[in-house]
Amino acid sequence: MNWLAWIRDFVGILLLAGGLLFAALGVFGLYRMPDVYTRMHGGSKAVTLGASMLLLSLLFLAPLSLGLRAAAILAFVFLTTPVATFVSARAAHRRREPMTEHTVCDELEAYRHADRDEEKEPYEVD
Amino acid sequence: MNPETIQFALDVAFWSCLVLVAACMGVVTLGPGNIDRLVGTDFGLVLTAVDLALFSARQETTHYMDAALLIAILSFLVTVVVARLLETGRVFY
Repeated sequence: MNWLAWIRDFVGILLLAGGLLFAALGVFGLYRMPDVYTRMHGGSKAVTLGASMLLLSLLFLAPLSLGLRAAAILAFVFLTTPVATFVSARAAHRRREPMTEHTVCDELEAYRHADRDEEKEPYEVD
Repeated sequence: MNPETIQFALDVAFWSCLVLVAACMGVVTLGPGNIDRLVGTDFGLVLTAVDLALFSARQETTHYMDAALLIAILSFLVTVVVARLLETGRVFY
């Protein structure tokens, strides 16, 4: 069964390398992109995938007691990072953060106040 | 594969992930707007949790995994609360 253990370690190191690559690309996108929305778009997906691959690699490389805890953290990160980015994007759009001049259309603009009652508005958004 | 190779791979991953956390803190410092700082904080905290997990595997203990899980939970809470604060000026209605 020696070759089976070798394959397990190889898959783990491959997942480590891929996760580092994707996380680095996501953080690079935070510096490179021109816009708040594009920064979030580039960063959230790549960082979620990279963190998930890095935590999944511990299931192959580390003992089982550590790998299962890493799987728990993976489940939590995989569920919450898209939600957190969605909430930040919503806040950015309601604050009217400026978009880049290459923006083609903003479909959310028509629905800006549709989901809220203007009469019962408890705060000033802008 | 021999254990030294795995240890070396975990070592490289740990230090690279630490560099990524430092880059996220650079976004928090430099970012043009407050939303950029919020997104940089979120990604920095998620990568800190991953980095603690890698450090725990490198030290061959499970003692750091609880801190990693706590940091992952706190990153979500911090992001939601600060996003609502930036959006409306208050957290609760």
